[in-house]
Amino acid sequence: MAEPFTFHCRRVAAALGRSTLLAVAGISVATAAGLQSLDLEDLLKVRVVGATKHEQAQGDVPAAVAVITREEIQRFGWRTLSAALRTLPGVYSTYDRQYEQTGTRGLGLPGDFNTRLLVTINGNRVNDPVFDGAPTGHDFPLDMDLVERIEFIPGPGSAIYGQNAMLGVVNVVTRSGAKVNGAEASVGYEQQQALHEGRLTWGGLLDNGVDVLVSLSGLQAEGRDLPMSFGDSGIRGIARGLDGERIAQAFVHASSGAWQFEWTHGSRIKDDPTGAYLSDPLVAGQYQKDMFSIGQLRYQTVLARGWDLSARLFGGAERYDSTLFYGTQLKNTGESDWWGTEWQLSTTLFTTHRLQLGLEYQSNWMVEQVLTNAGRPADDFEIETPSHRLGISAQDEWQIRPSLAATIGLRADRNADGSTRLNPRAALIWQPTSHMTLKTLLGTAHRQPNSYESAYDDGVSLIANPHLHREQMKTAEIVADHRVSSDLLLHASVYRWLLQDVIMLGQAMGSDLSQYQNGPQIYAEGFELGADRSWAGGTRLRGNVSFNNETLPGTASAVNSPRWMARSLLSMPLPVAGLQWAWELRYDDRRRTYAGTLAGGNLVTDVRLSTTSWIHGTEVALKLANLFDRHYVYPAADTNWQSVLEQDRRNIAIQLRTRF
Amino acid sequence: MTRFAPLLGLWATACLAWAGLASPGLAAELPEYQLKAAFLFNFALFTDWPADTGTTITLCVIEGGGFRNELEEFQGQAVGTRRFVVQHVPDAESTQGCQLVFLPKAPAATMARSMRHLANRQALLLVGDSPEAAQAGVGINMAINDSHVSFDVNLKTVQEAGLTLSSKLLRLARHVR
Repeated sequence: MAEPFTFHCRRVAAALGRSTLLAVAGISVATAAGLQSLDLEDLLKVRVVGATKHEQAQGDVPAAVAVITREEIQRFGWRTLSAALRTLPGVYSTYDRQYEQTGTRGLGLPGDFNTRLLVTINGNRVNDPVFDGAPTGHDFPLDMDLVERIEFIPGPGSAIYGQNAMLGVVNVVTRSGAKVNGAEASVGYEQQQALHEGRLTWGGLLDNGVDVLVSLSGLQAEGRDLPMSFGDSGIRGIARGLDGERIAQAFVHASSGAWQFEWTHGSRIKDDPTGAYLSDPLVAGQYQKDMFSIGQLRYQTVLARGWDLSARLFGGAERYDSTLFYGTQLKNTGESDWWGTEWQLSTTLFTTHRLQLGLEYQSNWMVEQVLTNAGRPADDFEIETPSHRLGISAQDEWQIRPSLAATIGLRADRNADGSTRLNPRAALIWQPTSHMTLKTLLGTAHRQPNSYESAYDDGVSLIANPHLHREQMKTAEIVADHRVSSDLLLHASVYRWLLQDVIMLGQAMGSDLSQYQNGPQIYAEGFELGADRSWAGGTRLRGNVSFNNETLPGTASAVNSPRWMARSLLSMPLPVAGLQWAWELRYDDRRRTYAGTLAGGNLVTDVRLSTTSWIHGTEVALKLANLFDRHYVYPAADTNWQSVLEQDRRNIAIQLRTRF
Repeated sequence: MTRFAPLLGLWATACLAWAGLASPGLAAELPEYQLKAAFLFNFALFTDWPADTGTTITLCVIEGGGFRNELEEFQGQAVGTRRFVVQHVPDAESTQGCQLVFLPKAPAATMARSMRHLANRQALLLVGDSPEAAQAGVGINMAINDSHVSFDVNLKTVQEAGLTLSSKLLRLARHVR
């Protein structure tokens, strides 16, 4: 292996030519005697070919981590978290013209709030206390242009992260000021939604060593005029001007030495063309609004050699409000404020053990849901459900032999109601060769019912369920990662999960109203296969195929759970005009709707052409989403009039990014 | 299943066709360890070595990492008034007389074992390229971010070893802690 590899390296280096290398990196060094002549600053500008493209977690990480880099996000022009995540094996999205939901390994019940996925920004929880929702669409409060990388850890993560980490953990890592190093502006336009968006960012490393990043973003869309039918009401019509959207976002980051501070703020209003929650069809002025404002102050230090400490102080606020009409106007708010602290201590004191201890406290000191009924003030209500929780975790990584390691972890969570929940996990990691890693993973996770599910009671759409209790998940998984060569990675995993007492919408006893109830046991098994290949010069092909078979007793198949999925992503430079080509194919199998019918499946193609060589310092891009104008639908929630909702047809987008 | 077979087949064929067509273009790119080799040499350049250091700066590369012969290019180059020498050694015990030691990627416990032989040695700069190496307390740790090599400096351990890094190195580091 050694010689062909080296030969290949030499050949690439020779083909590049010192002059090309220097010129492309923007370096004016004329004395090209080889790599020795490259200054440190120049070296920082050289790209790595064929590598993993990220700070790769080692083979002994007790999980199957997938990473999406900033480079890919830009190449493919993904503007929501969900658009990026759904390219990973087993992940799919569902848009109901209100929220974009991310399903994982077959579980994506329409109408729930992504409560089984934990989303964090630099390790800081975004899921709020009222709805527990993980925003992955336009409601995610951070502009995708500020993302350095997205880390996705499928499977239960409650042994480390506690609440919500059932189907997976998504950690979004933001860019540093030094990386931005100057001012950036971007504008975008999407033809179907008549969408305009813009961003202004400034970042840099100050002389006193403080890294600063400040960014503002905004979006405004008129939306489409959509033909809609409203189920049992018998009403049909064109929803004109009811699909608009408005977003404002701000992000601030500052770090110096061991200290790091950041604050993310985002507010989004989405007009409603669907008559959500069975509200009056085709009425103007119906909308749902979300505001997230979350921040954290982090301190990381080495106490002594081998002893690491990380401490965080965090806080957040979420403000939901909606206006819906049921003959009269109903205004609904769900508001929460929280703060908390997290401490993590890790040590490699023992030669074969690495111990990690953690403590997390979160106080949801204001959790309030208010309904104002304009027509019948007697129906107004105000529900306050403040809560708090304390989690303690311990994990040991034990290196049994050089090629064999085990990880055992346990987290205990104590909730405000006095209940304590234990979540263990265990992993065995074997590296039979230096290029191959095999992992066996076992874990559990849980989720307490959120305030909306257990306490909301408006008498028109939903009634409360004080007896609702937690749901819990158990997962077993075998993962194989094989690095065939420095530029080809293969991945395979087989899993089985069991979800007990799933919290889902049902019908309240003796009433025709909906109520959240503990449902039956759902179980599923599946597999995921993936390959990632890079070529010198910047071409990359990534693809995966996944299968999931979900069983919900008493039904043919679970709702909104595609069995087969396939993804293919190719990005490559074209030999003309400095063009970069990105091509994304997504195949989703048919999904069952609440009405029992099967919707889809669909093969959707997105392509994007971009260049940075037309205008100095500016990227100009044209993206065609749903290139072949496929007509396809996704299942709707059973709080929708519709059983399926039509998705966007071919969409032309123009994106411009510039630095100055 | 049979219903999707043609579709999946088509998809797979399309992928393979594209893979075959995809040809390398031109870009300022280098293989990972060739680039990291250049960084290692620069770390030697931007360190103030104590006056009693001999006439060579010896980099000892512990086996098991990604380096093959990428460092040969730097063999014998000048580091100030001294010569740069590269040696490949089997383990951490065999690093006597080295000024720089490169620790390959390894599980945390293996890393901890290596560190027992290396920690607290004067005038020795430890360099790694993994989260485990950073955790174990190497002076400089390289990482790949956004397809570029970057590096973090652990100033405390560098100072404990009695070394000073140039301000330029510190300025270009991603994190200094």
